[in-house]
Amino acid sequence: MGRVEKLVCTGCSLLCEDINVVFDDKGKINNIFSMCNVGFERFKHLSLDNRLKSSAIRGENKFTNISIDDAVERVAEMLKASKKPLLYGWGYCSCEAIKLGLDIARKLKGVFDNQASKGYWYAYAQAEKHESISNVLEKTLDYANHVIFLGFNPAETHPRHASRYSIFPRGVKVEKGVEGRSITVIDSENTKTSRIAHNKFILEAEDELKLIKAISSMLKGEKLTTSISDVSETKLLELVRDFKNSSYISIFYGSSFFENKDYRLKVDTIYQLVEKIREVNVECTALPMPKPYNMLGAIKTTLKETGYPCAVDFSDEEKKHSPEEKSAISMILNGEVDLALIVGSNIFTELSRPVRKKFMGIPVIVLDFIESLTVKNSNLYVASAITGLETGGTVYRADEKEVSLTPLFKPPENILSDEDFLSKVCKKI
Amino acid sequence: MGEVKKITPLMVYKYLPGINCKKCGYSTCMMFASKLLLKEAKIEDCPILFEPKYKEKLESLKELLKPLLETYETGLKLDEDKCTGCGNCVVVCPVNIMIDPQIAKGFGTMNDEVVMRVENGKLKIINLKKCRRFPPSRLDCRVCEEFCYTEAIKVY
Repeated sequence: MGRVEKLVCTGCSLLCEDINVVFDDKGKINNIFSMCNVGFERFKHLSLDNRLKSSAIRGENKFTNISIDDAVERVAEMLKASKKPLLYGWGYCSCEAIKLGLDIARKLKGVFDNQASKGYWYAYAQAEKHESISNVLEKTLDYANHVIFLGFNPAETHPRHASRYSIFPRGVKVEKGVEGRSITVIDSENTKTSRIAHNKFILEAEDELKLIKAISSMLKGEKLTTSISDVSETKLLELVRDFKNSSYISIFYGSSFFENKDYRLKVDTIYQLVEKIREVNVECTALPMPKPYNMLGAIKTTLKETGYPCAVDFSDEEKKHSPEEKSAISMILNGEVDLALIVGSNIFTELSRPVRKKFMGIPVIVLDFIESLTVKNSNLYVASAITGLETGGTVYRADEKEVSLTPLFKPPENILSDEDFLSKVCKKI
Repeated sequence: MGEVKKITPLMVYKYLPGINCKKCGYSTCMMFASKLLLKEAKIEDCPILFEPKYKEKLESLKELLKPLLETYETGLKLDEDKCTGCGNCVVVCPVNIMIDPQIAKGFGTMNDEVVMRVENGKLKIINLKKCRRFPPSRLDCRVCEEFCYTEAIKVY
C-alpha cells in the first residue's frame, strides 16, 4: 500500500473524519476508503469536465474567460458601483470565507444572508435553548436506545448517519448496536431509511404534527382524542410504552421540518415533545440535520460577527435583522438589492418564477467550482477551489463540533480559494 | 423491517417439548433452542422429540430449521448501482467487528482481512469465505441484507 492520508469529507454536515486516501508511488489516487457516494461525488469534481477551469464574464452572447486578477478587479468594481448588494450562500464554504463576506457586506452597507434563513436558524436556536446540539451525535452513539428520524432521510442525504453514529455502532450503554435500539421513522413518504425502521409512520404533513402532539399528550397518560389517518391507538400506546422504557431518545429532523413556511410551529412542536419526554425521566434531544456541510458554521460566524444568525441588512439601523423581510428571497422579490454575490449556492434552482424574474434583472456574481444553473445565469463567475479538498479552513459539524479541514490537493492554476478571492476583493473596496 | 425472516430462539422453543429434562446436555429447552441456532447442538440430541406424541412438533421444527441446515455454499450479490456506500452492512457484520474492533464504534476500515469494506463510494466484498454462512459456522446470518437501505446486497 502506498502513501495514506487522512481526509475530512465535506459531502454533508456529518464531516466524517475517518476517510483514508491511498496514493500510489506516482502520487495518483489509488483508493478512497470509507467515503460514501455523496462524499465521493464531490471528490469526483476534482477531475470532472463540468468543473470550472477559469473565471469568466458575460459578453453579448457568451462568456469570455478572464484572469483571476481581472476577476478580482471587476468584482470589486461591480460591488463598489452597487448601492445595496446582496451576499448570499455560505453553507458550502469555510468560516474564514464567511467572515470576509460579512466584512464586505458591512463595508458596502449591503445585505448578508445564508441558507439558514429558510428556517434552520430557528431550529438551531431552539435546539440550543433545549440543550439539543452539543455533542449529540456522540451521545446518540453511546446512549440512545430509541432513535427517531422525523422528516429526515439519512439514506439519501447523510448516508453514514446510521452506520457512523445513530443506529449500528456499539455504544457504552448500547453494547449490542442495532439490536439494542428501536428505530422510528415519521415521514410523508416511504423512504429508503424507513426500510430499516421498526416503527413506520407515513403521514401527510398536518398528520405528522398531530401525531407528535398525540404522543406528547399520551405520555402524560391522556387518551387519544383525535384520529390520525391509519394510525391505531394500540400502535401509539405501544410506541409511548417503548418511549417510557427507553433511557435516551434521540430525535433527528430534516429540512422538510425546518425549511417550510410553518417552520416555527413545526420546530416548536418537536421541542414540546422533547420536554414531555424529559418529564417522564427519559433523556431526550432533537437535532436538526442540515445538508450543507457548514450551515452551522455560517450561523455561528454570522452570530459572532453581527449578533444575528442570518438575514442582516447593514444599511438599516432600525431593523437590521429579520429572517422574513431581510432574507435573500424577500430582498430580491422586493427589488431592494441591485446586485447579488452568490458564494457556494445554486440559488437559481430554489427560486419561484417571480423571484427568478427579478433575479435575472440584476447583475449576479457567482463563486463556485462547478457549472451550476446559477453560474450559467450569472454575469460574472469566479472559478474557485473545492473547500476541503483543495483548500482548508474551519467548519462545524451538525452537532457543533469544530473541525479543521486540511487540503490534500492544490487548486489548478488561475484558481483561488473563496477565502483568498474574497480577501483580495475586500482589500480593493 | 425488510422482508427477511430471522429465526429466533423463541421460535425454535415453541416446537421443543418444554420440559427441561436436560437429556440434551443443556439445563433448559430454551438453551437447547439457542444452541440449535448456533449449530452447537443437533435436533437428534433431544430424544424426547422423537417420541410419537411430538411427531408434529418435530416436523414443524425441521421445516423451520431447513434454511439453516441447507446453508452450505452461499454468496452475496451486490448491485453496485444501488449501493450508496453508507456502510450499514460493514458495521452490522459480526465477522467484520471481530476482525477489526474499531468498526464496532462506527469507524471506517482499511483492514484487508474483513469480509467487506467501503471503497470509492461503494461496497467491496473482499473476503466472502469469511462470512458466517460458510463453514465452519454455517449460520443463517442475513444482517447485511436486512439492514441495507437500497436492497443492493442479496444473500443467496
